[in-house]
Amino acid sequence: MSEPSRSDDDLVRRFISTGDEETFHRLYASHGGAMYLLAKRLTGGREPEAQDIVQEAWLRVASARTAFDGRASVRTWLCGVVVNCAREQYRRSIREVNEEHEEPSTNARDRIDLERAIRDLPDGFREVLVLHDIYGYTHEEIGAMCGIDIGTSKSQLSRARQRVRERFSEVTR
Amino acid sequence: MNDRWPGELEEQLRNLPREENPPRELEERIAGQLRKMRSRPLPWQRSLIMAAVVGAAFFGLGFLAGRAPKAPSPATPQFALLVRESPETLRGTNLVEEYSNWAQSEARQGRLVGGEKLADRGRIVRAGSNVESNFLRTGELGGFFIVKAENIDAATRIAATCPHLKYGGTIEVRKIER
Repeated sequence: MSEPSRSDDDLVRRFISTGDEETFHRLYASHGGAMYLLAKRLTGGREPEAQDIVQEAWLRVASARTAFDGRASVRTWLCGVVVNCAREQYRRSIREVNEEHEEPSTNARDRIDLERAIRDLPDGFREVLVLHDIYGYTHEEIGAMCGIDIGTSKSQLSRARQRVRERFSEVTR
Repeated sequence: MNDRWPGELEEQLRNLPREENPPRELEERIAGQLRKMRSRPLPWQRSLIMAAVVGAAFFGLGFLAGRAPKAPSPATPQFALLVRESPETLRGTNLVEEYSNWAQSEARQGRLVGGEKLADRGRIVRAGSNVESNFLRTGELGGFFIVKAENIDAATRIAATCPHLKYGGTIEVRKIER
């Protein structure tokens, strides 16, 4: 994946107004990987859902259903669209009551994978932790994207971190 | 409470990748959807089309005022026809003419009371202080018509004739409680 260029703002505005394929491919080359991995993390590693979310995000940008005002970087903004699409996915998906994640390993000799620990978090905790601690969004930005207030974002982050720390302390006990 | 990451975890967090190559076919799949999208009007064009349709409907109502010998009585129940878009709606170049013809026909028979186009963006407000700015979801409800019909079956028959259905959209029929 190539580095984002300085003309990214122009590219995304052009893509919003025209939806043309060439502009899409250029933006995708710069930002598609970040969007995909974010979607994958937000869905707890569910690849088919992550792909659907990324596709939906690009189509929403192309259909001008969301505006780019240039205050954030293009990547930050595109990732925000991914977050919105992921949240809609949460609301639409039918979650089995007895859906279970794979039980976390308690074998002290296993190296706890941080990605796995994050993946196993409840959706709301995972969302805030991924956005804040991995992607660097502020609580204000997270609140705006996720429709929660700053206090909620902070408390969810704190609880998410605590759960991940507990997972690690279980393994090393 | 110490909320900070311990050193080992903080380092792992720093070293986590921030991007990953998606499956190869995803890019082409998206490009294919973009090609389909370009064959239909853009949102601002849809707004103009919808405005023209609703305008035509109201024009039909005004022009035909007082000329509806078969018009339902004032006591006839009213129903909302909630017009919902799908990604495949609004193809075709004769859209305005088709919608306008339909609206005028319904107005001529005294069945169409009114209608509005809804903005593509809106909000969902929940209890407490949570206000979710949902730019994306409300775009699916494009607008509504109000029709007079004896019962929901009759209202459904009216909805079934709307050209919106031909373009893959759906119409939800709900009685207006009075």
